Amino acid sequence: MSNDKRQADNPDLSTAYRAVANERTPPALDRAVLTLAKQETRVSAGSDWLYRWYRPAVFVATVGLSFALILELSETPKPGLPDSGVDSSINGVAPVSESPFQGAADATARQVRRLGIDANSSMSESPPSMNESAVPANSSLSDTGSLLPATDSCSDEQRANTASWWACIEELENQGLTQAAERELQTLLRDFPGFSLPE
Amino acid sequence: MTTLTTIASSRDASLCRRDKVAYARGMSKQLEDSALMLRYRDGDIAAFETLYRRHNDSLYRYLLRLSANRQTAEDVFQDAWSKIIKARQNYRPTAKFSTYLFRVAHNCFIDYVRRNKRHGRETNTDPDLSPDQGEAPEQLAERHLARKQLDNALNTLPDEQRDAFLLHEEGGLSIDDIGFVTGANRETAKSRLRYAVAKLKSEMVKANATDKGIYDE
Repeated sequence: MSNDKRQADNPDLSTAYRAVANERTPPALDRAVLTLAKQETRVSAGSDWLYRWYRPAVFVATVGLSFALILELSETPKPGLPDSGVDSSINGVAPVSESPFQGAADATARQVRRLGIDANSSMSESPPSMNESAVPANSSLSDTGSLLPATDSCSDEQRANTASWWACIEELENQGLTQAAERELQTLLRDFPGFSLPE
Repeated sequence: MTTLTTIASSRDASLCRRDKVAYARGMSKQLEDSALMLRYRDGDIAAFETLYRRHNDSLYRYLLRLSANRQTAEDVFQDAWSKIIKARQNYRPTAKFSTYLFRVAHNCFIDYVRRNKRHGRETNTDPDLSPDQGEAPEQLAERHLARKQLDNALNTLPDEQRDAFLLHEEGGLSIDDIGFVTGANRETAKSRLRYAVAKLKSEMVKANATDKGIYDE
């Protein structure tokens, strides 16, 4: 190794070389390189931030979306179970049907049911003047299946004597609530067997 | 050789001082270079500036004399530093930083020559010969002549020998490092350097003899 070093080193030549080879880098070149180094550091700072947060952000987003999807699927009603009034096709779950006609019929029934619910809800939202009774619309879908309010009947005061009760029944008939009127009439005849219908 | 020796003696004091300081720094300087590069990798721009100031002139001179073309030297110089800057995230201090730097520059130069077939050599690599402080016109002329002699002598060398000599002088690289940078084995690198030194000495002696003859006449 020392022999190699002796062969490579030539002090006279080195000294002579260094004496004349003393050029310096042009200042413009220095500026260009240092500017580039600064720019790259700045770019790197941005990309480092992105790189540092990219993976955790992707992980959190994946977990969050998976959780939301699981929740959504668990809340979707399964086909074959009683319809809770929610259109299953809205949630992207197609109903299972035995035949194409059956499927179409089910879909139509669901549509009609939904329209009925919409109509009732719109009725309930209408002002009281349009609806003489202020009873909630949902309660009308009760035993009789008609659109009569449950309280469409005569009050106890009206039932106190046959005249006022009969007047109440007539009023119900005038309003078109014939079933309620018949029901009240039967009750009147039961409570007052001696009552005779006026001519 | 007389001209060169005269100039060398006038600068001897400063050169010796510079060499002593460099020697005193010794091994730790290499560690500092790597540490500076690692600090720059982590975003410390001041560390890069320090590192750059240590090596910019020697790298520039290496490329200037290797290409013998100022424009080529500047292009390759910028390209080499740009590659080092961009690849800093992958930097691992497995070798001396200077070896790494000169290897990158060497490869950039090879690529440049391949890309630019019209790359030509100039006779004068350094038109910037402004007088030093207190330098007489005669001294300036002597320096100019000495530099011309050196450039002419270097230009007579085959490319590989010139490369080996410049890596040794400017990069301070050992024979092993020269082999690593140039992709040659150790014996080839050693032989190239030995031939280069021998030929340069002979060329300079010849040049001095010619100059002396001119002056004697």
